[in-house]
Amino acid sequence: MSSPYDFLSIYYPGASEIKSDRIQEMRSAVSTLVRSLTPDVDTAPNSPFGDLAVSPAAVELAAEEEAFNRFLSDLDPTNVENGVAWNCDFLRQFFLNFGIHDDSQQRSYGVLRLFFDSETEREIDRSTEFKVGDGIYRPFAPFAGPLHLLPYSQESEAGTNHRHYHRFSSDSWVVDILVTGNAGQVAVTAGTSVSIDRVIEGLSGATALVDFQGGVAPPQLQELARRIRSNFHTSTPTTRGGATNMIHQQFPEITLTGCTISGDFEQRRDVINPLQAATGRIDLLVRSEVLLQDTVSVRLKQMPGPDGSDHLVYAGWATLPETPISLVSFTNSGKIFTADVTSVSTDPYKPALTAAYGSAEKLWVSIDYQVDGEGQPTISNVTEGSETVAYFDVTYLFDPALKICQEFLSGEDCSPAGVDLYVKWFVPVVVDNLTVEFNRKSGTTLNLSSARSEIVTAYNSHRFEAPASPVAIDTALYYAGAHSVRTVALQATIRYSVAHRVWLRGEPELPTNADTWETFLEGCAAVPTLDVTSAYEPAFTNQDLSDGTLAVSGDRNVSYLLSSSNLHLVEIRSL
Amino acid sequence: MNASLELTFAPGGGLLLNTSSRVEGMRAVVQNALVNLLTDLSSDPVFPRKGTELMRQAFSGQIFDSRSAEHSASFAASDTLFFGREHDVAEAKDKIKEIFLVPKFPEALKLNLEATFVSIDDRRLSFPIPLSQ
Repeated sequence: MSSPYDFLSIYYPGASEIKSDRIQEMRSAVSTLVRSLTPDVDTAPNSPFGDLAVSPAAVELAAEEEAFNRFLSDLDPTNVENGVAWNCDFLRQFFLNFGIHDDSQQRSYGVLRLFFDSETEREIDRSTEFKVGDGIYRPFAPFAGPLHLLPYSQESEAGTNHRHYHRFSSDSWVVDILVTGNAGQVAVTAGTSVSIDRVIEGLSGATALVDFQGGVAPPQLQELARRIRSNFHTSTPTTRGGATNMIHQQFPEITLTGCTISGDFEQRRDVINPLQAATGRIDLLVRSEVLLQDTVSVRLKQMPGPDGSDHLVYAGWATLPETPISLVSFTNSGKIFTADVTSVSTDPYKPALTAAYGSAEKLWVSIDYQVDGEGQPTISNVTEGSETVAYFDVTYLFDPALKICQEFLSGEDCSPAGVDLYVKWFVPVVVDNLTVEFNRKSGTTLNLSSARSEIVTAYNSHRFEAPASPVAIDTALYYAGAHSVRTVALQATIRYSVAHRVWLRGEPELPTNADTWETFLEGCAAVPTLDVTSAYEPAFTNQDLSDGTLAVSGDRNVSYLLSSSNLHLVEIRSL
Repeated sequence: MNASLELTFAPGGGLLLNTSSRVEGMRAVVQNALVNLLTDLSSDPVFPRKGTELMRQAFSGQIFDSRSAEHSASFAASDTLFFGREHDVAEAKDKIKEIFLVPKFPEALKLNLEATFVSIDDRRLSFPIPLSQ
């Protein structure tokens, strides 16, 4: 039996903490009680019994009441979440009854980038230990057996630990793997070097790709209490609440989650079978606070373009190790080139743009062959065997939460039975310009940097349960010292994919000459875009689905991408 | 009938609690009033308005002539009367209607008080309060 808690020292208030009006009320109650049983006893103040018995009893009872209220307060996770906790030792034990445990016992997750000098089939034993910072991690292998590294051209099988190489440069390849383990005392940040307990043939280096999550944060009772209150849903990804709750519980650093399920307006992967039973589809949307930037090399082959052999292009798959949220640039020899990107779904259950911003979307890229004023090619190329190829450095933005959630939920212990769960990013509402005109309060100093930060956070935190609205702008500017907001002008575009067009006909027929280019283009449709110009009534309406792209945007699946540089706060006058 | 243990004012100050004797009715109410007159104001944390400033004024030299004595006595009587009205639990007829507190100077530099309490039904009880020996 554990030691009893010291109720007296933990919960009992000091004399100054007992409210005098409560003592008065308690004394009146005691007096009434005593006189109800012994009506001839004088309990008034100044009487012997009143001063020597009733008043002290009232003080004691008021203290007991306060102590008991504090104990009851500890039993309500709402109070603990708001920062009021009296007995932390008791609370840690108490929360275990809800399956809530300290962060220090929780596993830490992260993504490592392994660099190889060749695209050879390899195995990484699941017992391999990676020392990252002062923590020890092992590969997250959701199925039995080792991690099996395959060339990108080789197909993987479902229910295996297959991982594909992605080209990093002309002579190196990378594999991004999810690792899990016990964190050390030092938080692991992106770029932390890695040491391995054994020699892996062909491995030329390893580094942490993202900031690792979980495991090192000191136990926070407020966070544990918050998880209890949010655990109304079970933590299994078979329901909307369960899926988002599971992610928040496992990865508390993930700032935003959303979920679209069969029957939602935003869920276009629904399938109704002949028995009229809807097959379960869940799109789990995740977003971190910060997007990261990565640059890898892609190999594009020179080939005839759509206009025939006089029109050459460099084309091929842009095999990026992480799911891109935004394509920043394609460069060769230090010059930026415009790429034509086609979205191709690799999963028949995620057709057209329902695959966008997830692992089932592949990108087919073509870049026009160009010459300068003197007729010299501006794209540097090399001859490899019978092919002329060019290597382009692709810079893109990715979300570190995506791979973590994708691999975690692909495991046989976590993937829900009978439900097709797809982890992807939100459909971004890319804000090109948000201009706010305001009047200043005369004689005040404006704190525009604070207002800017709050507005950017409010829009980038938009979600179904808490949509962004101009109220956030009004509030931020008011507290920054503004008198009033005059106008809010928003220019944004909903981007249903990072690509410009989408392939619609199942297994892609990749182009190699002008004829196949024509067939390829006929099988594609332009990715629609939707302009959003109203900040007050965001038009998250669906597109016309008759073109088959299955583009859809609604309150549940969109997220704003607003950078501080696109927010303009303009003072009009001083009032 | 409201009852209480009898308090005796000890020579040289202080109170003695007589556990074998009791006071009842108006005498119990008057006893409470006497205690209140001689209790220092704000000395009871449960009732900050219990007591008077009479004793503090008497022993700090603020009562130096008949006028100042009457002034202090009147305030003390008034404070005691109102406090009692608010907190006494006696029967209505036993409650105090008026308090007369008259200072007397038997000798120079000596002060005594003659306290008279009048109940709702006009009964009177008088007590000497010797502040100086």
